[in-house]
Amino acid sequence: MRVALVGNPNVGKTALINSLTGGNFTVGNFPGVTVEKKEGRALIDGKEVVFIDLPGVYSLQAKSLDEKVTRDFLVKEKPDLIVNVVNASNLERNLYLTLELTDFQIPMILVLNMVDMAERRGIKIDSKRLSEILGVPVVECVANRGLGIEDLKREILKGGKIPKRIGRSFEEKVRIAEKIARDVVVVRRRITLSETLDDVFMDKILGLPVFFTLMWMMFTFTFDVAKPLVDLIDLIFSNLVKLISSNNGLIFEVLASVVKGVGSVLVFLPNITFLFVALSILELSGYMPRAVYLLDSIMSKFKLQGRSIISMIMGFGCNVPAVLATRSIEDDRIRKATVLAIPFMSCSARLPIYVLFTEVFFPKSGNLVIMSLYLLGVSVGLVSALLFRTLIFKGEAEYIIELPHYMLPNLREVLMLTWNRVKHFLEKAGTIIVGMAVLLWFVTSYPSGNVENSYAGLIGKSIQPIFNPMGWDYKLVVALLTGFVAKEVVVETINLLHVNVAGMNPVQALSYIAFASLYIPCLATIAVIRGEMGFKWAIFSVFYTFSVAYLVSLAIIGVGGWLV
Amino acid sequence: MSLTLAGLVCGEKGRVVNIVGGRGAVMKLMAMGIVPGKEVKVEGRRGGAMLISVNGTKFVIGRGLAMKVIVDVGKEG
Amino acid sequence: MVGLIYGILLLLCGILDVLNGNYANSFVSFTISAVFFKGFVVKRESYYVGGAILAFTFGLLSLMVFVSTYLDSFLNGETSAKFSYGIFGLLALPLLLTVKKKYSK
Repeated sequence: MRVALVGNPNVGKTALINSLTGGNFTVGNFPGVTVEKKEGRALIDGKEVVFIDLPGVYSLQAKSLDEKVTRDFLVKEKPDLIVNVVNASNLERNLYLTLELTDFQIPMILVLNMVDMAERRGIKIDSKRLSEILGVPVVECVANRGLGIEDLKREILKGGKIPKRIGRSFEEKVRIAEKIARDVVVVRRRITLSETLDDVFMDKILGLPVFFTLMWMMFTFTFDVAKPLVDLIDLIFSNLVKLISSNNGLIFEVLASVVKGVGSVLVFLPNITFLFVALSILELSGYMPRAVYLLDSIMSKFKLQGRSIISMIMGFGCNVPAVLATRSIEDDRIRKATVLAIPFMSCSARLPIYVLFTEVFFPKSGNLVIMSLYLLGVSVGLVSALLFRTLIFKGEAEYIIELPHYMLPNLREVLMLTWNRVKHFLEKAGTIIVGMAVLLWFVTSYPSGNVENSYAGLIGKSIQPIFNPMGWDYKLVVALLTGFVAKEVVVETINLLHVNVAGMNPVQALSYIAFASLYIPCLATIAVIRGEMGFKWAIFSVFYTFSVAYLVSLAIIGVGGWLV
Repeated sequence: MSLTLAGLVCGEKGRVVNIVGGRGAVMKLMAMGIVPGKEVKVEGRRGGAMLISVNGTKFVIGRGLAMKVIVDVGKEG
Repeated sequence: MVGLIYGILLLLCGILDVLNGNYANSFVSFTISAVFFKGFVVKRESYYVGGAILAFTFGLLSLMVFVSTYLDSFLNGETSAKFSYGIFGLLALPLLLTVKKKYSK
C-alpha cells in the first residue's frame, strides 16, 4: 500500500512520517526543506505500508517546481491513499489545498496536526463536522510528540475514503474553504509566547545584532565545545597508526596510510556534528525564515532575496543540500544566481583545513580567523551573485514566505536531523576517503620510494608553477588537486605527504586557506549543480570559482607582503 | 481609499479588495490565504521586504508582489 | 525593574569581557543587555522573554566552553580554560521559568 503525505509547508509533515515509520527523515520548520521526495516503510499490523513525503505546497497549480513535483506524483503514480496533513492553527488556508486534492478522487484521510499548539492559541476545531463536510476521516495528531499516531495508523489500514468533489473553479474553492473554516473552527484568541518573541527577534534595530549573536554562539559551540572530543579522536588514531606501523610489510604500510588518512578526516567529526546540531536547532525552532526577513535589506542590495540566505546558511553545513534547497526559490533568475554563489559558502568539509592552519599560525585568534574566512566566502558569494544578476540573470523578482511559529525543538528531532547529515560525512569517510588514502599511498610510493620523485611529486611539480606567485610547496598543490574529489581530502593529503606546514609564513598560509576555501567545489556539488542548471553551468562554476580563488589568494599575498 | 499593500506604512491595517497581475501571482497569493475581504496588517518593513500578518499568520512579502495587492485602508470616504 | 537589573548585569559581563580582550563575547553580552534595556524603556515583557532566552543560552554555552576547554587542556597535560563572563547569563534561569509558567497555563 502506498500512502502520499501532502500538505502546506510548516504543517509538520516530516515529523509525521518520522513517527509513522520510526525512521530516518530530515525534519524542517521553514518552507523549502522538504524539496525532495522521501520514502519510508512501516509495518502496520503486519501489512507493509510505504509512505511518500511530498514537498510542502500551498496549491497544485504547478507554478513552482515543488507544486509540479507533487501534482505529477499524484497524477502519474496514483498512490492508494492521500494523507492530507493540515496545520490546525491555520485551517482555512490549509483547506484550500484540501479542496484541490478532492479533484483527484483518490481515497483520503485528513490529519489535523499540531492541535496542541492550536489549543494553546485558543483554536478548537470540530473534527466530526469537518469529516462530514469533506466525506473523509479526520484524525487529530501531535506528530512531533507521537500523539494520535495509533489512531492514524488504524485509519490508514481502513484505507481512507474517496472525498466529495467540492468547488469547481479556483475562486470558488477559495470561497468554500473560507466558509468551511468558519463553520468548524471556534476561536478564542490568546496571545502566545511565539507571537511575542517576534518583538525581539524581528526588532528594527536589535534584530540584526541578535542574528549575529546567534551566529557567533553557533561558531563557539562548533569549535570550542567540540574541542576535547577532537583531541580525543586524534589521540586514538595516532596511537593506532603507531601500533600498525610497528609491524613490517606492504599490507601494514597500506593499512597505516589508510588509518592515518581516515583519522585525519574523522577528527573533525565532532566539529561537524556540533555544527549540524546548531543548524538543526536554528532550523527547527523556526528562526531561519526570520533571518530571511532580517537580511532581506542586505540581500536585495545584491539583487537576491532573503530566501537565498536559507540556502546559503545551509551551505555552511554542506553545499549539496544547499543547492537542492534553492528549489524553493520560485524566481528562476534568483535561483540560478544563488546556486552559483553557494560553492563559496564554506562547507563543513573545509573546516579541517582552517583548523589545521590556524592552530599553527594563529593559535590565539583562531576563531576570529575562521569566522573571517566564512565572511570572506559569504562576501565573495554575494558579490558574485550581484554580478550574475546584473549581467546574466537580469530582472525584478517576486516572493512571499510564511513565517512558522517558534517551536522549542525536541532533542529527538535535532539528533535525528543531525544524524542524517553526519551519516553522509561518515559514508564519505568510509568510501571516498579510504579510496583516496590507498590511491595517495600508491602515487606517493611509486615509481620511487620518496615523494619527490613519485607520481604525485611529478604531477604536483608540473602544476606548481601556476602557483609560483604564492610560493606554495608542490605538496600543497597536490593536496589541492586531490581535494577536488572532496575537500576533506586536502587535510588527508597534507598529513600523508608529511607537509611541513609550519615552514610557511603566515601570509602564505592565509592565502592558501583562502584559496582552499574558495576554489572549485567538490565533485558532489558539481554534480548537483549540473543536475539543477545543466552541464554548461557546472563547467562555468568550476572555472569561475577557480579564477576567483586565484585572484583572492594573489591579493592576500600582495597586500600581506606590503604590510609585513 | 484604495492603494497597494506596498504603500502602507508600518502598523497600518487594510482590507484586501483585489489582486492585480498575472494569474500565477493571483493564485499564489490566494492559496496562501491573501484573499479579497481579508484584513492585512503591516508589522514591519525592511529594505524591499515587508512583514505582514493575515489571519494570524505572518508572511514576509517582497515589494514587487506587495504592489499587486490592492487594499482599502478604510479612511473616511 | 527586572529588565533594568538584567540589563545592567549583562552590561557588566560585556565590559568585563572587553577588559579580557574577549570582544566577540562582549558583543553578545552587549546585545542581550540592549534587549533588556529596550524592554525596560518600552515596557514590554516580550523583550524580557527574548532576553532571558538569549542570556540563558549564552550562559549555558559559556559554561560548556569552560568545561570543554578545561577538559581539552587536561588531555594535553595542562590546566587552563577559556572563561567568559557571559556565564552569568545563567542567572536568567529564574526569569525564564517564571515566563514559561505564565504562558503555559
